[in-house]
Amino acid sequence: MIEVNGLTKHYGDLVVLEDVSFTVEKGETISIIGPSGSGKSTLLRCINRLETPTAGEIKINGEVVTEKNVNRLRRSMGMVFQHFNLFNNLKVIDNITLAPLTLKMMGKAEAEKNAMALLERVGLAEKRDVYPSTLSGGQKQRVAIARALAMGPDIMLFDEPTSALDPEMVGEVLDVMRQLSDAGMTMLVVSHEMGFAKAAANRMFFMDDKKILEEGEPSVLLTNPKEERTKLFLQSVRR
Amino acid sequence: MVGVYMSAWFSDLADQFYRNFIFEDRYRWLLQGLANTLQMTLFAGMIGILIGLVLSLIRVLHKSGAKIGFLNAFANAYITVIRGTPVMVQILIINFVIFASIPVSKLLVASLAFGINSGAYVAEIFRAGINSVDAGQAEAARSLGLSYGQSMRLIVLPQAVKNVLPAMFNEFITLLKETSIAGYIAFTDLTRAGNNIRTLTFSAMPLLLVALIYLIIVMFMTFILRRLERRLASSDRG
Ligand SMILES: Nc1ncnc2c1ncn2[C@@H]1O[C@H](COP(=O)(O)OP(=O)(O)OP(=O)(O)O)[C@@H](O)[C@H]1O
Ligand SMILES: [Mg+2]
Repeated sequence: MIEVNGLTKHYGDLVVLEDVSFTVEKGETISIIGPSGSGKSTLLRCINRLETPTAGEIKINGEVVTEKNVNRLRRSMGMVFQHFNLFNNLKVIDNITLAPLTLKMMGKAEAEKNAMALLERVGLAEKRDVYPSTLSGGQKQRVAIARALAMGPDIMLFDEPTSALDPEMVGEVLDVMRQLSDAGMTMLVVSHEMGFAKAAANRMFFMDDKKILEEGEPSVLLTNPKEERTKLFLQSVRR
Repeated sequence: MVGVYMSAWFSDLADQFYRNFIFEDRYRWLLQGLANTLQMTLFAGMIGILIGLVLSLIRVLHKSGAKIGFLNAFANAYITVIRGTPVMVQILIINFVIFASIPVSKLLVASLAFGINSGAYVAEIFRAGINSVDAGQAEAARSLGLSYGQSMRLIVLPQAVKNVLPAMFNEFITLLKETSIAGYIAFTDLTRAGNNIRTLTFSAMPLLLVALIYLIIVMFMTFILRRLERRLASSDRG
């Protein structure tokens, strides 16, 4: 489903990712952890080409992502951001229907019906006509997830979806993600919510030193890491 | 005694008023001047918005990687030159150099001159407005598969316009006041009309009235602006 081959990303002289390769199968949930600045966000952003890789190639469903086909391929990849990035100028319902309507994937009636079903699913049907500024952080993130799902993606990318939330709102967002994962969505999740990783992830990547330093089943990697750096990192987040 | 002075003063005032505004229908000069000022400001404002929009889009597109280095250099030069020279000099050049031998109406020349000037300032306002929209907004739109143009048009620009409305209003107020030098290219705007009367009557009255008219218009626009700001502050930001 996702194939990353020799992905390298530089910002000027700064090397953020160096020769990163991995594959993700359909239906897998991958948890990505690692220290700040280790390139987790950059990896996700290269996959849907919000950043242009310096070298290497990325295949989505067997198709190499290029500057030409990126707008089409992005429709099959939803992205959820740390700071939600809901469209401030649009009501909740319009946030969700904007892309399907603009890209002429659905008519208005169908798009709204689809959006309402998604709002139902994230438990926010009654918020359809309010502006994002009136929502709590947890509600914003659930709308953001609904917005990404409205395109009917095969893949969902989550970049620290709960780290900007007050603690009492983390659960409601993780619940939605958990349901998605259980329903067979292919997911890449950058998050330090170890409980979620253990419960939902098939594999866990530990990123450091410009690459995926260690990879394994979450329960194994979390309790019995091989690399010294992974151990140090896990101690620091458990502190 | 005081009563005598007062009544003399009043009859002098009434006499002055008559000579300045009633005699020969001189109030009509002022009305015509006011109409000219308002038209010129409106046209100049529209030209300024058009130029400003184009210039700011060039600069924003250039920054986001479009290969338009030549256009961008032009936009930068335009803004630098216009903002770096007095508007008075600009209108003189446009009237006496560029339009020296082209017979067009003074209203057109003046509107164009002030529009060209205002465009440089509007460009800076728009650019700041576009930059004031969080980059995450465009990223979210792009991540859904929208093109650069679509995310600009549907997400970034509507928010930018909202953010710049107060600054645009201020620019318009400034523009209105700046057009008072249009008399230097022989366009009879409000100021020039008042001054024309003064040269006949040697009275302070016409110019004081002109000042009052400008003040009333500016205060009215400021009032609208304050209401607008309050409405924007209480609407869907955040
Ligand atoms: N647009 C950019 N220009 C220059 N440097 C950048 C840019 N984006 C990221 N970087 C740098 O690349 C490195 C990796 O950043 P990245 O955001 O991918 O890390 P991260 O693992 O997501 O960290 P965090 O946990 O803090 O989110 C950092 O050193 C960062 O400063
Ligand atoms: Mg990050």
